[in-house]
Amino acid sequence: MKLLKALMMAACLTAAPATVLAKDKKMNGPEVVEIADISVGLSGLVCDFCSLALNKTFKKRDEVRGTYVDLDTKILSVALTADNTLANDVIIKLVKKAGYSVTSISRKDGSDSYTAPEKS
Amino acid sequence: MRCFAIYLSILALPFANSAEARPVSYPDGWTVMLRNDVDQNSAHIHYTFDTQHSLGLRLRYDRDGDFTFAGAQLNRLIKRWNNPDSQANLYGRFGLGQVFDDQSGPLKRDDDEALFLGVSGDWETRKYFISAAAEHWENGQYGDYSSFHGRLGVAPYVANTGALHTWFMVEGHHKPESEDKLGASAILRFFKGPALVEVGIDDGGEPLLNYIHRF
Repeated sequence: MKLLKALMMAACLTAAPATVLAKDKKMNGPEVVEIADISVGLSGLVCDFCSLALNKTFKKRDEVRGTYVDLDTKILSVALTADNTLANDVIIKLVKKAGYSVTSISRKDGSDSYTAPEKS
Repeated sequence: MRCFAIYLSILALPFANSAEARPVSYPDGWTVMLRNDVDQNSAHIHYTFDTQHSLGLRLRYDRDGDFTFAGAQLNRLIKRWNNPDSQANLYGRFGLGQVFDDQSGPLKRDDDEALFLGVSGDWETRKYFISAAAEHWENGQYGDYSSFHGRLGVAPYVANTGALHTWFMVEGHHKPESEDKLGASAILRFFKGPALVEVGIDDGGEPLLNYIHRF
């Protein structure tokens, strides 16, 4: 029985597929802030697990070249690949999927900014 | 010192055991949670399959009863409150599996079915942390077990993304079925990127070591 438990423990600890352990090739450092096409204001950010959730969720998108979450400014910076964009409704859905809320969206080119309505 | 620790634990109740207070991460995320303290050696690995649910395996060795639970655990994020400077969460959890005796010899007990139900909540800013949890285990012939955990924490400094985050915490517990019904632990939490480590000691001198890693 102890062998069975040891095997189960080993299975538990190695069950995560290799794909999730693979090194992320996209940018994720503060340098993204300088080249960001989109800045997303967020609420609910309190720790690095929050940053991780947002980075992982956005980086699955082909349009995204890199992301960076700054806990101090509460801003998610998104750098896009050439000739791509992310619509506001897509950004809001991705942030919600990661477990957080959007307070604002602004773009480097000044287009299509968004501010979340005040909670009553 | 012991009286002071127990006093703090009463203040903290019914706050909770935060090493398990965030059992749902983000869709397609894997999390490993290891908890080792006076009560248990526990491993829980789970996969978050949507914004509100994760499913995983749980192994828990009960140090007092000398038996092990092995089974599946489903976690649900019942509600999250995102605010500009804080976040609060309410979670439920359910586990189903078997318990095995770790003793050998003629007194060895048969395997039995087991299940548990739990609820936990937390509220945190980047500076303060409060959590609470209640859990009830039905272990068949191995006996039922309830626990109430609580935790208060303060960060001595506010760290930005990727830096080392440090927390001073106190955890209190109430275990109605146990001889030692009230207790407390002092805990240091270190948190960097996807990894969280907690080291501590309880009022009986027993060490505590927890680890969480998100992938």
